[in-house]
Amino acid sequence: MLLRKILLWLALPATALLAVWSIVGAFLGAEQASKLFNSTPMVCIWCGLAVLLAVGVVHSAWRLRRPVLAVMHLGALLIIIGSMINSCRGHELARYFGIDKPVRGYMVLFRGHQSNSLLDSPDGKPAATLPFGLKLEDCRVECYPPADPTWLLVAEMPADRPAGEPQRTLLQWRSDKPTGIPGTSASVRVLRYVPCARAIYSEGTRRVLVIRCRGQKLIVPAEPGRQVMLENPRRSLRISGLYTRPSPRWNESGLDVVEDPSARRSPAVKVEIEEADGDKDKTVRLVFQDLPMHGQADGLAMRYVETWPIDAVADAASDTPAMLLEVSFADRSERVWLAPETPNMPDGLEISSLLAQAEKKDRLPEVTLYLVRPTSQIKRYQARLAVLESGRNVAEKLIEVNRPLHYGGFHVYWHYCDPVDPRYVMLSVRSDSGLTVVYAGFALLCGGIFAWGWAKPAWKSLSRRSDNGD
Amino acid sequence: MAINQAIPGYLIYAAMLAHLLAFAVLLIGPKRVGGAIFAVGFAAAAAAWTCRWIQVGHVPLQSLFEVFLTLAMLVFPLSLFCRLCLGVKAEAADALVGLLILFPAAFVFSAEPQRLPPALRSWLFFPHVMAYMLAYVVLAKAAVAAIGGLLSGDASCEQATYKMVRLGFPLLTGGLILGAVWGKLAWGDYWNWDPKELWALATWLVFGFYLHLRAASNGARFPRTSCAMALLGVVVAAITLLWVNLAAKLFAGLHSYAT
Repeated sequence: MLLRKILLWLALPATALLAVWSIVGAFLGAEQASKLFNSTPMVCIWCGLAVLLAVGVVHSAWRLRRPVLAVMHLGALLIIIGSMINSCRGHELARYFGIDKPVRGYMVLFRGHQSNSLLDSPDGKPAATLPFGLKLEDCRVECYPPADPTWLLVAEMPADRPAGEPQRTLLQWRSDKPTGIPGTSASVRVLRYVPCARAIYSEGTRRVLVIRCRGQKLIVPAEPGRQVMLENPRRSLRISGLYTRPSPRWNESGLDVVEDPSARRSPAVKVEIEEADGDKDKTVRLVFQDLPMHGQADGLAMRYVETWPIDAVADAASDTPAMLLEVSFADRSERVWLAPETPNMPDGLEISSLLAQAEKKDRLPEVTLYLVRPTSQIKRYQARLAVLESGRNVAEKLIEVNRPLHYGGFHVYWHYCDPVDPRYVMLSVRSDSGLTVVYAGFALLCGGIFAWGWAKPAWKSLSRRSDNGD
Repeated sequence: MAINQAIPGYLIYAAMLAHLLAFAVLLIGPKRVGGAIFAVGFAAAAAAWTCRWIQVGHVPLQSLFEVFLTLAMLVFPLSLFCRLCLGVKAEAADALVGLLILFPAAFVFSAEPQRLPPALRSWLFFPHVMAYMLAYVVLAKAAVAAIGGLLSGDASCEQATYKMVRLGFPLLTGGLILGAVWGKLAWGDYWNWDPKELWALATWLVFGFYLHLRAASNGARFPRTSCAMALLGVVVAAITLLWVNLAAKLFAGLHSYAT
């Protein structure tokens, strides 16, 4: 009985200490808490606790003859022992016995590629290798359908500082009600929303080159390679390039223009003009949307302007909408169709361009309106992995969150992939050393506590009723 | 404070009214009538829970609104079980506990339906959370008995507290272990030192301390100390359930979706 009392009175400070440290750890956060509970003093406490539990198990089983108590304490003991085996220190210790196994790591795999190299952290350096290879056969992201399929109307304003990001604001529009654009005195009113629409453009494209020459007006769709013939004098005009952020340079062969992502956004078109008789050299002009004066050349006046759809019709085959807007600023207002951006024309509706007729562009707000697809919440990520040994495919599994791959003493988990472009996945890999011991501990602890808390009182109650003849 | 105007919302208000009436009648009126009204309150809460399940398309245990609705629904059946099987009678207090649990579900927490993120799409979601829900309701009953024991020093209250803890502690253990198994499947480790995990462990350890203390002091020799420890365990359990989720900035971690 004395040993029982000693064990109980030792268990009290041990339990209290762990409870207090758990609460301290909760305030520290997971990373610091992990360091705290794996520190050398705590390892000593864990070892002491293991010894206390071991003595308790033996005492409960042999001296007290209380198997339920022994089972639950054995469960707790196995959890501690299994966790020690599964820890970093446990793996370091195992190396002395010739078991060299990485405890954890990360792997980046592109679709169709294979690897066995483990990184020490998601953005770290190679630190270990697996005894087998993994190949990413396929990966995909499944989304829930959006709760509201209506596309979002977004206003984008320039960054408030030179290297900053543009500011995007979601406009909470209601049909036929004007909605103010934050930070400006402009407003927008949605007159019509066509959920599945085909936008109709006047010239088959959204930007056009407007050419005026001796009273003649030509509208040319802004497409590279497009060519027109002009009269008086007879000459050809060819569109040789379109740019969003052009960086022009003059060299020996003439004007050279490249797209420069760091340059200011200034849409432009490169035009080559050549005399029909070929006496003169070819003239090259870069016509900017924002700088109409650059379009003056040899009696020509060229303007590079943006157009919007002139109409939109319902089209069941389309998965994009169109929106008829009325944009108002000061005493001006314009009606225009807005269609979603397309991959080769990533431009929205620039209010300043729309309302530029009044020649007071400097006072107009620099706002671009976009239609943006509503975001869908991700339902599941899936990656099909093949396990390779000596170049041979020995196993395959479709992994996802909650469904890891278990092979060769390791668990392989889906960790991350780009939901928009799932070409690669990041996997996390964990050693399974000691896991069986931990799970056996879970089973014994749970079974023992349920037997003590539920089965034993129920059995007693039933026995009592049976003794009473109920 | 927002009024929930969906069908589950109206059912929750009806359940609150029934719990309030049941509490009053059980205190001052005929027990049978009070018990019947309590049962009506349960039926309304269960109907709200079922409607919510249909509305969100998964078992409603994700948000704090759903968690509190589930807790309230479990109060009556557990009260009945404890009265019939364990001889712990506290129906009026149970009706009051049900009312107090329903209040935040009705007026505080957002009832905005949420879809299950990939990590919650697991067969362990229901047993892990439900084990905790059952444990919390049983431990709430333990707290009521412990308050009685603290105030009166009565050994019968201490005994009722112990019976409740003996019923709830295995559920607490089951919830913790199921969570560890799930953590291993979802995140790669059965223990991640996440704040919610650490508070859950602290809860388990405080009740472990309570049981060892009770064993060391030969049962109910110090009823007030024993009740105080059980009450401390319930306070830590409440922090695990509520504070860790509500103070997300203070306790940022893997369980941050359960708001």
